[in-house]
Amino acid sequence: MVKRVKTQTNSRPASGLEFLRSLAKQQSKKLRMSVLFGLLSTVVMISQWLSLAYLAHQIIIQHQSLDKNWPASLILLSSVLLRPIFLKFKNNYAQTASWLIRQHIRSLVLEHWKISSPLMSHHHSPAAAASQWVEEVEAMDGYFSQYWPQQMLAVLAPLLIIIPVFYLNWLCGMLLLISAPLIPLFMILVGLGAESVNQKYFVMRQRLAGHFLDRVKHLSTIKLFNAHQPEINDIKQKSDDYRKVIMQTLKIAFLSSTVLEFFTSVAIASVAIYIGFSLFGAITWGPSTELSLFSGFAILLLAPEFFQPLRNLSQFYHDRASALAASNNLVNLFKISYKSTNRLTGKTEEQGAVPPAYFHYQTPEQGLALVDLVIGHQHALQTPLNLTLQLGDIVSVSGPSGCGKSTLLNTLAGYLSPINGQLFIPTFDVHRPQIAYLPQQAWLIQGSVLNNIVLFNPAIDEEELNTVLQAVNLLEDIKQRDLGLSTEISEDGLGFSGGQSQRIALLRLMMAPTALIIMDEPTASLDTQNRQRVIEQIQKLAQNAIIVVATHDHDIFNIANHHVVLKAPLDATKGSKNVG
Amino acid sequence: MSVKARDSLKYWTIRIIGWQPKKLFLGTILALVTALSGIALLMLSGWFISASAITGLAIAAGIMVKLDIYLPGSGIRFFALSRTIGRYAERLYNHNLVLSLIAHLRQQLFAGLVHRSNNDFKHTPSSEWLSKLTADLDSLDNILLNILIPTVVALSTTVILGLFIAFFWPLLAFWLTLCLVFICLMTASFIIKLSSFNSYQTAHLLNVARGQAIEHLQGQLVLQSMGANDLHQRHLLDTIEQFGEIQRRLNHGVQNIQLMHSLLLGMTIVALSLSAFWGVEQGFFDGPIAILLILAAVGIVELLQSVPAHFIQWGKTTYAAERLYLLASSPQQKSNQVQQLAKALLPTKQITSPLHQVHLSVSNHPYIPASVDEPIAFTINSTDKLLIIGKSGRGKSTLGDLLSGQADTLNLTTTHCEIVVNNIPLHTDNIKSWQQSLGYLSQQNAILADTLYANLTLGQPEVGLAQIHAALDIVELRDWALSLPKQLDTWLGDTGNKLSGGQARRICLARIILKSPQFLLLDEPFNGVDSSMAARIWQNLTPWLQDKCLVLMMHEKPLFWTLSDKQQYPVNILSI
Repeated sequence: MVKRVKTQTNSRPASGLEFLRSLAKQQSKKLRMSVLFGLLSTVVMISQWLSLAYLAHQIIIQHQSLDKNWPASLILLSSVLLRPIFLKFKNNYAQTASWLIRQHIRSLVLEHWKISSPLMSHHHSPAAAASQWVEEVEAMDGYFSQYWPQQMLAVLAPLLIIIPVFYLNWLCGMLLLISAPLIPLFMILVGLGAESVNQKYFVMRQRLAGHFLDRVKHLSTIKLFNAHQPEINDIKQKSDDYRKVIMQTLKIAFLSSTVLEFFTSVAIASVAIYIGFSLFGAITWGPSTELSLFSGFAILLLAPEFFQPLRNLSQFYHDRASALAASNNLVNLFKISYKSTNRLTGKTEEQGAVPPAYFHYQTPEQGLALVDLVIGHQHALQTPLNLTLQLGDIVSVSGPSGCGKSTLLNTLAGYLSPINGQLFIPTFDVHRPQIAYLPQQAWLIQGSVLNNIVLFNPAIDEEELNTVLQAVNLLEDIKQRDLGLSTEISEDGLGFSGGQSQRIALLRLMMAPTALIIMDEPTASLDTQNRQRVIEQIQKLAQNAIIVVATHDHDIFNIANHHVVLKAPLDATKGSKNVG
Repeated sequence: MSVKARDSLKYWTIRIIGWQPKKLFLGTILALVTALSGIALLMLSGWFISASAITGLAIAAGIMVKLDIYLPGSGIRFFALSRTIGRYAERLYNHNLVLSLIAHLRQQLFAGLVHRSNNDFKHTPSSEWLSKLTADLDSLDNILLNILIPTVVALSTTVILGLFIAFFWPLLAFWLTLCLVFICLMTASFIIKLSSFNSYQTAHLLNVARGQAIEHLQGQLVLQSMGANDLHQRHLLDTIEQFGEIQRRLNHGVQNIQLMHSLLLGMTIVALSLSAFWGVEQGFFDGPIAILLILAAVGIVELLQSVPAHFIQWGKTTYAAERLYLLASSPQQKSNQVQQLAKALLPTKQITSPLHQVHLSVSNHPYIPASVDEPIAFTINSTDKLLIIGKSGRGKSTLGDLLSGQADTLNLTTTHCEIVVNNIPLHTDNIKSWQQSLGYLSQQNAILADTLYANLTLGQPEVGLAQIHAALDIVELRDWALSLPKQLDTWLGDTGNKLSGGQARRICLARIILKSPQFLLLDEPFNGVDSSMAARIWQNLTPWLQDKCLVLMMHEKPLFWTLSDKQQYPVNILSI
């Protein structure tokens, strides 16, 4: 799986359509099997109608008995029974392919999240990104399970059907063959017409479409201003306006399916009249003299089937549209990752760029070192920083807002590359570097308290856990709850105060020790008692680690043995000179 | 399917049928005519070619037989045309119908939502909640498009063609109709059972997966530096894998039901065809009639093939119907009797202006951390000014929501929460009267997707232009508004003029100034507004504020405070 992911990221699809195609290619075996079974079902469909027409001819024209025609009856029965079986296989292959493709897309997105820095924009609206991962990928199902096989069948199945028609009567064959390319032509013309009407009303349609949701969104404001009665009427009015605008487009858009309907009907009608007149003897030219009830009836039955695959395709057309929209969004998402990747995980090689030269990992005994480190996004925020720390050190980082406290923390964590300088990061395992990061708002997962504590080290045993809990005075807090460690932490964190959440997050770090721990304002928004307990926990953690903590808290200054005080940021012009 | 789900589906179905029965009938008739035209086209064509084949042979053999070939010819042309036109008309008509139905349902739903308390959908509904609401509303048209109309059309077609066949061979018609109805009922019940269970499961798992994905993304700062992404994304992949398993089961179930359905229908067709041929052999009727009967049956069966496809949406539809039922039915209606009884016993006092005194006390409120540390209580009189200072996360906004009646007072035994206005305790029945004399500027800027004019005059259509200009003057937006190409008619919101956070804030403030309530509750009124502008607006507001009761909530003591210290009115300060 991982290997495939890599080849995918290297090829970099340029457009949504290209991406869809490359995805379909990955499961081409299954998709082709689906098409194959679709074609097999077409073949038995042909044999079904041929045998029915043959039976009709034998019994009605030749006045033969039904008993004598058991082989044809048997063919009819077996064709009728085989067709749904083949169709089942067709659907099954396509649906399986679609599922595998969707899983693959999801793993691509997960991989993308992993290598893109948490400072990236899509991490700022996790809800939107999450629904992209869940719903948008799901919206691509129809494209692979329905549309893709059908677009093949829309070309291949009519070709299969036209063969017996040509054999039976070349004139009818020609009739169908000529009408075939006309259909897409008319459909394109209709489509263009609908699109221009659509464009004309674009803004109006968008506004009307969003009207209802907008009012629901602002319902509380509307209620506060006692404006709900006029708004109720307005909703009806606007929805009706929307209907009128949409109908303008639909009037033209539906012509597209009418074109198909028209061709099907006209084909049946003209084939029927031609065959009827020929059989009657009213038409005597061309191949009409060779017609019999068998060939005539067979052609009549096959004519609507000739157009059926195209009609099915037009039904699935909206699947293509929604898949394309989702695919375009994904391509845009992946594009971002090529621009900036997380230096820490060293995924930059995929870019073809040089491996990160700023980061060096070393043993915990060698400590943490900042050598002429210049931090900033595009411009340097500070003059070069130099700092050397040993295990057991706590360093506070402080300064006015905007001075680059978070920038420094993010640079240390590897989420942002420095503008210049070198960083030597201590870690227990140089090949699998780990740095603990504690954000201002503790990040808790949905699940029990225990799940949260052992998140990074599931192998911990209960006795060890109890000792640590005791050590940080959390045991009492947790024992107070009916379910103890199994107490569930709900989505909104209800039931746990900010201080308790922070201490659970700290406990998690104690369970999975790292040599470097980065903390962002761990005591902001905590009351005095909780703050004191958190500080005690930080001191315990520092016994075997280096702690870098951004803070305004004087109590933390007191336990820190190093202090980095950042100055107000350098202005941009001066900063860029510094880099040069 | 639970009783509740069935009831809500019934509720919406009755609502839809009762809405415009005549139009629904016409739409169904159009669909029926289209379906019958298609079948008749094939039937007549088959009859025509077999009849002319027999006649042609007879003529060739020198026997004089009469067959009018022109009348069936025009019949064929007629059906070809009526099928095409019918299809177009039916699609257009029924789509129009569905869109007006949605317009109707939206209005109903909005009316229902208005009567619900804010707790049911939170203060500002999340985009996720909103998109679910839209999806649910869209699912409701399945009742019309996938359940009602197709079922009626399929049943009527079966009955009409059954009667037609009965004209030639009653016994055959009886068995055919019986078989078809039995097969379809069985298939539909299987599909309904399958989709009811699975739709619920898939929707649930997707929700769980979305929640886990959000958690995963929010945890990236923690996870990436620990190299723990793979560890955490396991839950996410497990959920999706489970979802895939359910979907696979659903797909397989549908495939098998469709297979069984098609096999049974196919066998029926073969049996009917052979019977018809046997009928010819026995001399019950002639050959062309046999073809006519066979093609009639082929036509119905083709129509009935889509029965599983129509009912596959059943589960999703009932699920949506259930959720919307809860929103659309206002709770007042349900407990009407109880309430009337209660009202008769203890009439609710409405709050009337002028306001003399507002009192609030909260303790141990889970969303107001400050009230957990120590109870919050204050009383203000008619023209008092109160400044509440509290850091973010202390529960200021929740306090504002409580005081404005936007958040329900929690019914927790540990939480105490009381608001008393003019010595009348505030509760659900008199909140409206309280809100009439209240102007609440919440932290979120509520800009409606509408014109600037509509945004300013929300709920006050009688406001004049001069007043609007005066209000815009106070918030220093008049020049800006006049500089807009369409001035007050400029469209705001996503598809219109983009506002900066400060502009949006000031428009919301102007809206409250136009309402001119006696009690003002302003939560960070100058968010996004720079300090000199804030000071100017404060200066402009001062005379207007003179006779008002004001509660101002800020995260720190505002800078403009000192600038306008010369103000005459005293300000109390409460720190939380």
